[in-house]
Amino acid sequence: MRTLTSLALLGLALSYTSDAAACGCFTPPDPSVPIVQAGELIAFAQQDGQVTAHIQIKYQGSASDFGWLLPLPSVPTLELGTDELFSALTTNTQPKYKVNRVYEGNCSFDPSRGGFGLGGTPSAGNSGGGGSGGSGDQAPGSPLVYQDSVGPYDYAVLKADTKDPMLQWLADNRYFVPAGTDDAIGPYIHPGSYFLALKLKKGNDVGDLQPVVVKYASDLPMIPLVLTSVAANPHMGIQVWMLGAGRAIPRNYYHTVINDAKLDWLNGSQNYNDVIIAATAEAPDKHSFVTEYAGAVTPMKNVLNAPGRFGVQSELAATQSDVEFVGYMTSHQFPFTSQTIAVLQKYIPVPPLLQQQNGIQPPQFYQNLSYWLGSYKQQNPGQFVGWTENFQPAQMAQELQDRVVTPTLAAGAMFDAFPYLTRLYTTLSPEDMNKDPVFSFNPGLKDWPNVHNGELTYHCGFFGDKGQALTAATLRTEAGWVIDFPNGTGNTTGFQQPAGPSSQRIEILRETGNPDVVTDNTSSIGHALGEGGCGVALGGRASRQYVGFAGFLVVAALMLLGRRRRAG
Amino acid sequence: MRTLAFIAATGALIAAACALVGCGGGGGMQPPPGDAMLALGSAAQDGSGFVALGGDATLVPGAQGGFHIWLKYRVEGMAPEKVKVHRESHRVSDDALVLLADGTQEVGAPAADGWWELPAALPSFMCPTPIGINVIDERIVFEVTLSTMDDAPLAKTSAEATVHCPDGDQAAFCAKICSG
Repeated sequence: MRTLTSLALLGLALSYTSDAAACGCFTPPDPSVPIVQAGELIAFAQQDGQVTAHIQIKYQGSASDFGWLLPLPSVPTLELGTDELFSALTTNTQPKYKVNRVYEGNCSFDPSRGGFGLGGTPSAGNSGGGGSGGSGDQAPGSPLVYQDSVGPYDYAVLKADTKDPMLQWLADNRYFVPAGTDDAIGPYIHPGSYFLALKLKKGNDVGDLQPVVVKYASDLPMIPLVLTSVAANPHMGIQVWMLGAGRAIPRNYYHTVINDAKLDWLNGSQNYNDVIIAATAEAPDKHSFVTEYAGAVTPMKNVLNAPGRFGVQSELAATQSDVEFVGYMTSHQFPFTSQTIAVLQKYIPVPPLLQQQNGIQPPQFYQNLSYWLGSYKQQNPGQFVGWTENFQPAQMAQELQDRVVTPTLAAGAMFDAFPYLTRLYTTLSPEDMNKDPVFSFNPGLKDWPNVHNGELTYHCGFFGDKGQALTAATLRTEAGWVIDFPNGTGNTTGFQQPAGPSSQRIEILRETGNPDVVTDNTSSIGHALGEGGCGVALGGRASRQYVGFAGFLVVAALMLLGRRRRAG
Repeated sequence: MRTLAFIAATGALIAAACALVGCGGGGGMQPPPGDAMLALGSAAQDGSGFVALGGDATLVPGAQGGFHIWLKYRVEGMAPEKVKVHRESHRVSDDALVLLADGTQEVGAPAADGWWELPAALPSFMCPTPIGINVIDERIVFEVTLSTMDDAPLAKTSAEATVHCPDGDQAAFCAKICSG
């Protein structure tokens, strides 16, 4: 038996890096955005006793060893999802920690000035920088409810009344089950329970993996983390989006408000994930989520289903050449995600020599197809020797419709159907995945923005400064913590995290009412910042340089007054 | 005097209806805010049938590793229409909230006895419970409210039961995730 690293249980999270994993991130990097790679990404919508779960499956290993299991309370429906939903959700609700810079005194590096000059008015700048027909199995005693295929997957829905027949059926039918599943699967085995099992269809590769959409009847959405623990990584990120009528809450996990003084504000809060790991670990049993965004669905409105997007299938099918086909896709905002590329590669493969000799990856190839198949091909015919394509526009348009257009428009329609979006995040290690988180709503809770603002004030003084890097500065975080940089902010690469807890508050959020605060670390954070000599809590400290300048003005004024009196 | 007689007659009618539909426990049926009559019950362990909800109720393991109580209701005295269904479960001892759930339901035509019954029992989510909320061996009140899609009240009812973990393999796991 081959290595057992190959099962993805509910998208469990081996960091998957496929060549074809186009992230859809076409925006330039934003220095105020911390980089977090979540292991598990799920978007839930809950309405009328039905849960819709969009699940991104991450997997690293060979296609033949890929398997995926999900326990469900009722017979589910399965559809294809889209990676673009997750890339758009990630980008548009990403926590951002921006530093607004304020220049006190005569700062030569104040970008609002034309040059050196007197004047003390503070100025602010922003550094923020289709499936086939299904079939049932009527064999007596078989746990199979039905099996079918959709997109790149073969799947089966199995009765989970008892464990052994189900595991045996999976083994007999070449669905991969990892070691350890026997023990972890126990809580999910009951009369009336079901398991959804996925594997890749023959001829499909890991790059063909596509998110799935599972719909099932349940009052509340839940993540079967106990089962996920079988193959999870330490500090695995779990990113959840909840669509509904109001703000979502973790029902049986704590809620943490992080101590934002722990963040490396001056370097785009790159230590964000470390702060989350430390903060959630301060909650009982390390079971806590952080809210990263809660508010209207506006950031996702018309993102996936913008009017006119994808054009008309018949027009795409009527194109006369490969270049015209891909040109139509580009002009109608088709995303070059792994799903799109999987379809294109089937019919217009990337010339192997072009890939081998020039390192040209599929997204580059298709996004500039007219160049590669035009002038480049004319000038480098040797790289196209033996290359053939199978341009079938009608077939390609249909596959794109099934695998890209329909799932993307359906995902986009969720943001028309639901008014409110919540983004929650936590990290857990396998040994702490001993309780399945359940999510609910409390519409009375306040919104939670994803953009956070700190303020960095440079104290340049009356006589000018020593340059931006060496000028004393004070950072006020959004929560109001004040951190002094008496020697300037020049050496910001060596961030010294202040002492104290990483969570400012640990709360219980319930379906009604305000948060119940179980731990309030405000005073200990203030104490830690004060004791460390690097800052004071919730108030600020006048800069010595600024005090000196004020004192100079007072002395000068008194001298002037004395001269006038003598003169009088 | 006539008023008392009317109240007594109404009470007798309600009791008779209750006996008919088998509602039980802590008052499975109450005079509704609208004209409709709502009776709340439960189902057998496998989700079938309509049984009284009251006395003791055993938590039913759900496929995703949780536990629920089956809820089923019957409606009398209203025309077929789509209605809003609001469900709440509270711990009787301190009124702590166990579940809030909202949904809609297409109420169909009544059967020959004048009652329309929910086709399939609802698995009313219980566990994992909210943090700090134990439900094991606790009296829980289940409330169901029906209203029109315009939020006009139609009917409201409640029933109480003391919930217990199942015996056997599930007992320890149930105790772990239902104790808050």
